[in-house]
Amino acid sequence: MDDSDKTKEQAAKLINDLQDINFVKIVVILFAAWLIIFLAQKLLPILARNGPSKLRLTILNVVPIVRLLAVSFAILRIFPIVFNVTFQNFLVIAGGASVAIGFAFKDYVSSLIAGVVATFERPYRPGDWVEIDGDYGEVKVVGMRALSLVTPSDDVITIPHKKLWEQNISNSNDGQRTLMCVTHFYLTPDHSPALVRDLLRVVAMTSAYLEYDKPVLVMLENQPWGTHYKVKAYPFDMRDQFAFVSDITVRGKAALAELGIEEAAVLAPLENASRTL
Amino acid sequence: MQFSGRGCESCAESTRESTLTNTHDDSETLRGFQPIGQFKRPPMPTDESLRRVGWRLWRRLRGNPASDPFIAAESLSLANAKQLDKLAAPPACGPLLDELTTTFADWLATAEPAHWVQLVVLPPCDQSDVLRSWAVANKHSIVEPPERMSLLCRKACEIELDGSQSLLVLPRIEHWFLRHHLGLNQLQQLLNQLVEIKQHCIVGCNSWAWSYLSKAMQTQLVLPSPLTFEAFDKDRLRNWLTDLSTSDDHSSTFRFAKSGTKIFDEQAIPRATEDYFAKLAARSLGIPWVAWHQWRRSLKISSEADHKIEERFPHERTVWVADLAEVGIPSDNMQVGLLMLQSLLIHDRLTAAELAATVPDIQCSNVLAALLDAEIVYRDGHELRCDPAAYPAVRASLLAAGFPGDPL
Repeated sequence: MDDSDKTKEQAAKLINDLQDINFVKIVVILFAAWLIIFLAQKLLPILARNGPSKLRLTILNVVPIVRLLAVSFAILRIFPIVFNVTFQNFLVIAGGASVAIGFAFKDYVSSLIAGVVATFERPYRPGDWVEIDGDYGEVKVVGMRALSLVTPSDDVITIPHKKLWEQNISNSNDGQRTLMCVTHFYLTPDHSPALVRDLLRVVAMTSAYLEYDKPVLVMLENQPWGTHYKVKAYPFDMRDQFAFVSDITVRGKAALAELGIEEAAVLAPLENASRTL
Repeated sequence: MQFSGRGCESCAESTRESTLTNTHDDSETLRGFQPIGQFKRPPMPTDESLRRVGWRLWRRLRGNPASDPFIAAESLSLANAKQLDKLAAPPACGPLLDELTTTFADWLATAEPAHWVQLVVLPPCDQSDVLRSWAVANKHSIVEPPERMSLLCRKACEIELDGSQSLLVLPRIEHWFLRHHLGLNQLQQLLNQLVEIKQHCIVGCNSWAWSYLSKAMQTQLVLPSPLTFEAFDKDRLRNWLTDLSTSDDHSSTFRFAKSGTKIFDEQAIPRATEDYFAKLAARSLGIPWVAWHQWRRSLKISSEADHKIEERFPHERTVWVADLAEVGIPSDNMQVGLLMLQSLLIHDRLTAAELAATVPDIQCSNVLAALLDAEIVYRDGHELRCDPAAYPAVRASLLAAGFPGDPL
C-alpha cells in the first residue's frame, strides 16, 4: 500500500462514516441545549424581576453559568458522534483548528475564551453596573461572545468579552445590591464649610432611597472658584441610583437656599462624564 | 430591684414570674417587656404555608375554584363599627398597659437608677397609642412633639423637659418629622438633652423609626437597650380575644363561616380554633393591634332574612368568623407606593404635604389613591396612616423590594 492510500484511510477515520453518524441524536442534543439556554434566558430574568430583591443578582448570575454548562454538554456529546476520537485525530483537528482560528476567527475565539474566563472570574455579572471603554451601564446579558450594556440613556451597547484582555473594567457594585452614588454641589466661597457639610450629610440621611447599612460621607475641597462638595451615599437598590442622586440634589439645593448659600456660577471640570443621566 | 437598660433581661425574667390574678390559666401570667432582640414572631403553621402556596397556584391555573362553606360569603356582611366595638372592643393593645406598669415598677421606685432613660420600641400602626395611654392613665408627664409644619416653616421649637421628679414620657418620637433635615436637627437637640437628664424618662418609638434613627443618628448609642413586648402567640391571642368576645352584653356566639362550628367552646379548645389562632398569630406577626384589626375584619353577620340559619341555631345571635383575608399590595407603579408606605411606617402618620416632603415624585402619581382604595392606607382626619390589618403585607412587600427593615 502506498502513502496516498494511508492518508486516505486516516482521513476517513477522522470523521465517522455518514451512515454511522446519528443525526437525529445530534438534533435532539442541540435542541435540548438550545431549550435549556432559551428557558434560562427567558425565565430566570422574570424570576429575578418578580422575586425578592435580595436574590435578583444571584438569580441573574445563574444564566451565563447555565448557558456555559449547556454548550459544554452539547459539544462533549456531539463531538464523539461526528469525529473518530483518537489522540492522532485530536492532533489533526487541533492543528487544523489552530490555522483556521489564527487566520480567520482569532478575535471571535478570543472573545469566546474571554467569555468563559468572565463566567468564572466574574469581572461583571448580569445586573452589575460597569464602565468599559468609557461606556457606563447595567449589564443586561452576558453572552458567549459579548455582553450587552444598557446605558442610562437607554442605549444598548454590545461589547465583546475580549475587552477583558485589553481594558480596565470598572464595576460599581461588584455583585452587591447597592453602589456608591456621588452627588456634587459647587458653592461660592463665602459660607461656613462645617455647617454645609453637616447639612448635606443630614440631607442625604433623610433621602427615601438611603441604604441604612452603608456610610454617608461628605467630602469637600477648595477650588479657585469656591468649594466643591461631594456627598457619597448608597441607595438600597442600585436601580435607584439616578433617582437617589436627583433626590439629594433637589433637597440639598432647597436646604442650601434656605440658608442663603449661593451656588458657584462657574464651569467645573466634569467628572465621570459617562455616568450622567 | 433596680431596673437598668443592661439589666433588663433579668428584670423581664423576674416580671414574668410575678403572677397576677387573671381569668385564665397559668399561660395568662402577666409578662413584662423584653429586649427587642428576643422578639420572636409566631411561626406560620407548615400546612398553612403549603396551603397558601398551593392556593395561589391553583387560583392561577383554575381561576376561582368553587368552595362549599357552611354559609355562603354572599349571605354575610361586614359588621358595622358599633357592632364590632361590642364584639371586639378597643383598645387594641391587650394587656400591654399592665405589662408596662409591671416592667417599669422597680425602675421607677429606684431613686438613682443606672439609666435615667428607658426606650420602648413597638411595632408600627399602633392606633391605640399604648405608651401615651399608659402615661395618661398613670398621670405621667408627656412631652409632645413639635408641629411638623412649623418645622418646615423654620420656626424655632423649644423642647421643654421639666425638672421635676415625675416620670417624663415621650410617647412617640416618630412624630418628630424624622425624614426632614430640620426634623432631625430638632431630634438631635432632644437627644442631647436626654443624655444629660437626671429624671426618669421613657421614650417610645416604633420599630421602623428606630431602625432609621439608629442609622441616621446612632440613637442606639444614647438609648442602648430598647424593650418591647413578648410576641402574641396563638394562646395569648385566643385568651385575649375570648375576653373581648365575652364582654359583649348580647352574648353572641362566634362560629366559623366555613364549618358552622363554635370558635370559642367552653368545654375544650377545638382543633379548628387552635389552627385559626395559630394562623392569626403568624399573619399578625405576633402584634396584638394587627391581630385585633384582622380579627375584626373577619367578623361577619348574616343578613336579617336568613331564616335557615335562625332555624338551625335558634335563640342565638351568631357572629360568623370568615377566613383571614389576604391583603394584596397593588402591583402597578409600586416603587413610589412602597416609598410612601415606608415613609408612613417611619412617621406613623403624615399629611399629604408632609408625605410629599419625604418622598420624591408623588405629586404626579395616583398611587396614593390606589393605596387608599385597597385599604392599605386610610385617612385619619387630614392625615394618612397605614392600616394595621395591612401591615404584614406591607412589611413583606417592602422587605421583598429590598427596603431596609425593622428589628421586630
